Amino acid sequence: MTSAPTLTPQSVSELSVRELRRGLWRRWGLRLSVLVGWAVVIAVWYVLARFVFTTQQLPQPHIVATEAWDVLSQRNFASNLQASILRVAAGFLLALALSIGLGLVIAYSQWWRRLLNSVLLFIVSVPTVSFAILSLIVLGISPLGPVLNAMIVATPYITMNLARGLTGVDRRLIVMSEAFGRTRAQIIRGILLPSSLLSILGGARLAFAVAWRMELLTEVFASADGIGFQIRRSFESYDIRGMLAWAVLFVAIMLIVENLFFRQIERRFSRWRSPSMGDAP
Amino acid sequence: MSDIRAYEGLAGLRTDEARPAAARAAGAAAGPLTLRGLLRRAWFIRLLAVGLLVFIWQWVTWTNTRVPGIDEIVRFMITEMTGGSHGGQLTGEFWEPLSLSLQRYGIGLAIGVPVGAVVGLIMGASRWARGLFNDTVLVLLALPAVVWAFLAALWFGLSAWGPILAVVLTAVPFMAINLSAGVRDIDQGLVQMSRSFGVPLGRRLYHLLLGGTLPSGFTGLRLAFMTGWNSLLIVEWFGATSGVGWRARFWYDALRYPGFVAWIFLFVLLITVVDRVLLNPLERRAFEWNQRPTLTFEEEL
Repeated sequence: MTSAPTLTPQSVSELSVRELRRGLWRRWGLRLSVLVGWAVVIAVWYVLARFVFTTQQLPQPHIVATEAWDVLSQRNFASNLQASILRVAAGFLLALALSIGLGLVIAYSQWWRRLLNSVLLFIVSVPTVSFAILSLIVLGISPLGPVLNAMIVATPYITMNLARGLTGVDRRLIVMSEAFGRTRAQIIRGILLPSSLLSILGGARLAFAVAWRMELLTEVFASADGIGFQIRRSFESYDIRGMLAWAVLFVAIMLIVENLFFRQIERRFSRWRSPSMGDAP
Repeated sequence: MSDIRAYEGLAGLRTDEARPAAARAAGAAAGPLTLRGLLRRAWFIRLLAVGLLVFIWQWVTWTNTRVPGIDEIVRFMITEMTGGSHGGQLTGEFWEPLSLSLQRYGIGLAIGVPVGAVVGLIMGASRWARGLFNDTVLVLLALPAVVWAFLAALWFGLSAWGPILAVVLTAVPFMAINLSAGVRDIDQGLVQMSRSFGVPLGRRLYHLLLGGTLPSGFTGLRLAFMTGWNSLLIVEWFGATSGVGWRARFWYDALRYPGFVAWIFLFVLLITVVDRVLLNPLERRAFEWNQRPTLTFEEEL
């Protein structure tokens, strides 16, 4: 970049100092910007809470934080969290099972792809609130509603990404391995799974995010426990502090699962690929 | 940065319009109308898909007495539109909630989409800005619309500002995250080349920035439209005395399920119409010069 015709020790060290400084700035400057971002958000929240809204309308961040801590340490939290997580997990697993069937059909038959594409596209475009309210009429207040709704909204994402992963497999590899007398199981394990795995995982992560929010929304409408129900109960008793505390915890759990669980799995399975595909932010 | 890419996963779902014309023509291949030929027609497959959904609905109706059949729903909607009486309850209030909701939706998007676009462009252009905004945008994305709905209801009471705020807050992060990914996807080689060949800034902005960010911009726009509509309905359900969501709740509270389901169908119908009438033609125009670059299913195999 810089032209350095004479490489005296001094110029070299100057260059490296500059490089070092730039590297430091790049690394720490970025972290600093993240911190500044959070500081700005919290500052804005304080200003809003102090000057625009009353405490009943928007409590200050530290009040919400202590409330969240209180909620965390109650037994109440564990049971509600458990209820919600079990429902999401059940819905997600059901969606996975359904998607494997649908995804295979879509990947290998053009006719079924056309038919199911429009159905799945329709499901994605339905506002999620309609599912939530419909489950209230169909099932009443029942733990089954969140599970089924999570399944319904997660299925298109997993199916589509599964099908995309399967159709993206290099056909010549399969033809070649057939020519070399590999068995079907070997082909599936050695070619189909590795080359479609990343796409499937991407779909699973997205599906989890969607299912988790759908589950919460259904709990708001039609459930007697779970995080969504707690948010609704706080709202109905004008307890904004409790509501925000539950919402903060919900977001925290969602981000943790996404970043620690799904991202780690994805990174592990994408190691064999080119380094640019699994780069850390 | 795979987190940012994640919300583009939806793009792969769009297929019909993005399909190359040749494939579409092949789908509607001419020939004698045999059963086999009929089964391959694109319109027939779509009809079959609609039939499948209707069948599922009717099946739920038969197994569950609380779910109204499609005939009942349609009849209710017609009465609601033309004005009449449903057991003494007021009907005929069809256009007012509808226009109010669409107004709020329009205002919310008109504020949220440009704001999100600007934030996204800044985030894409500067690493610093990305560090600054990224976490906030991710939290906004993760925060469920219900929370905004409740907050809006408590802050603004029953005024129109709650729904509008909810639409804005859902539209901003989707636009921001997709546009920032779009800006970073611009081919840096092209940028450098055009700079060294002295292409004026205006043309560079137009061709490189606009051309490069269009696909992700449309993904963001579509998501903003869809999720914005959703959160508008949630806010209206909980904290409004007018609008489509309120009307659905009105019938729900009155235990008139056909009316309530009719309005829910209307939600879906409206967003589909917005998608077809507004977004699709826009998108087709924007990509006339180029095949739409996002993944489609029909291209493979």
